Amino acid sequence: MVSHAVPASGSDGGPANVRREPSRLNPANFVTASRFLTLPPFLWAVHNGLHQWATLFVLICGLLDKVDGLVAKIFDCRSVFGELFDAITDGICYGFCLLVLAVYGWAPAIPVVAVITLGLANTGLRTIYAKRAGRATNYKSYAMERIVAYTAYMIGFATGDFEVSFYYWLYVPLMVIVILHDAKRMLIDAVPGANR
Amino acid sequence: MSDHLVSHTVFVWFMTLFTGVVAGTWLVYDGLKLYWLRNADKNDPTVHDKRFGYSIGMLVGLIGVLGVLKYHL
Repeated sequence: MVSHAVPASGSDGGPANVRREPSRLNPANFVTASRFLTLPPFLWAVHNGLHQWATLFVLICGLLDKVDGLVAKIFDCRSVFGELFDAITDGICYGFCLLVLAVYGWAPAIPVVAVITLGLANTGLRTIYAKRAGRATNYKSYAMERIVAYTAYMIGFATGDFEVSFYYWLYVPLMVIVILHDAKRMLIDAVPGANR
Repeated sequence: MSDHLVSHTVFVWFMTLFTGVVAGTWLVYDGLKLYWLRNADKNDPTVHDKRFGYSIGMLVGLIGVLGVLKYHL
């Protein structure tokens, strides 16, 4: 595999030591990419009204999200690209599932639209943050990590028809609070190790 | 193909246990992590982010547990 020397990011997005960047074609990224394979069967299950099957495919997608991090550790192939790819895959998979659930009436449309809009706003904020930092970096938000996990659960609640309104409507204010907090950190506060 | 991988009762209890156990663990674990940070430097932005994140985590865990209780009560 080809590898390149690149500056690694610290946990706060700041520069740490220089380490080898593994090839993008590595086992962890393959596991991340394999999550897309759960989307067509998920759509098929929802279209045919198969709640338990849809739940199963969501579980597999969520499980693969946990496995890719483990694989990256085992094969020592963690990279900035892998982190970004993982975040983008989260957005695509969970966004797709939420949209499908809203279209088929399994989840309330207003919270779903709010969640997707706020998710896109978060992506925009991260792009601005990377520009401020002057390098490809991912702002580590402990709160947003928890909100993303909640999103995965919300899809499961809708497919399982489990207190759907309760979980969906409580999610929105929580995400607004986190976005506002992260917006201040990414747009106003100083960027650790910024190039400019 | 049948919708029923398992019976409805088994499915409901699977959802209940899965949600309840994960949310409960989440609530306690993030609570502990918040407690362990009580003496950390309050001016450090990373510590601030962690505190905020763990507080949100506790809220998420609490919502998870309350949802399970709401379903069964």
